[in-house]
Amino acid sequence: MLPLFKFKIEGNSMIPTFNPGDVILVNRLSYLLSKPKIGDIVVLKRGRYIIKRIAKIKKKKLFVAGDNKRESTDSRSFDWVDKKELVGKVMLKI
Amino acid sequence: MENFILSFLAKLLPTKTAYAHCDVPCGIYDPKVAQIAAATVLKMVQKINELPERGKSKNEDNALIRMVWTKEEHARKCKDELLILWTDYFKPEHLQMFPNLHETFWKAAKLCSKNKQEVNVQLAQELVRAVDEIAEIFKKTKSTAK
Repeated sequence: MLPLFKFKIEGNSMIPTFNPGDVILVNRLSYLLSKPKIGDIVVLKRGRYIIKRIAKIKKKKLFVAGDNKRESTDSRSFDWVDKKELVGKVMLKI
Repeated sequence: MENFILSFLAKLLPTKTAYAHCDVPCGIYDPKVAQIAAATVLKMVQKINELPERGKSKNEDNALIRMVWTKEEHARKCKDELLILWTDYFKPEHLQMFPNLHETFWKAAKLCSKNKQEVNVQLAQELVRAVDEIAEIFKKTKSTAK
């Protein structure tokens, strides 16, 4: 099985980096050997899959935010997320 | 070259949705959609129970399938709407006001799935009550925010 997920973006919170309808590849194994870094764009599983950028890091928690701050629901509203919720790092747009 | 290979591999992968959720931009949340969906599930269960045991005609079969499909669709919609409220609207301070918030949402979301699996009036009524309870909590958080 490939260590990749393919996602289609829905919503405006990652504009201008990603627009609704963009298709991206996510590496599920990214954080097996390396640690999440500030600036990484990641997909998280919180009931459903969400895409955000890592803004701050604590020991076991991440503060994630959308690139489009005016139109993003993120850690500013749902607070820090657990690192366990990470699905993987966004590798590229296809 | 690497990107070319990845793009080729990507064609083989199923596509999931990643939500880059926006508030457009001032926070449009409302439990009414979930309430209507839950009420529709209950109505469909009642209508399915009113049908004869075995369809006597193609039209009766058709009616049953449509009702089951509608029940399925609205249970899905109800769950989707609940998850949006749960993960996007509610904040840590709401959890302090309503310590059972997670439990309440978890049970309501489970009831959506249960109602897909079964034709059971009691379960459908429980779903309606659970979603109404969430709507009531939502209303209280809004009134304290004013």
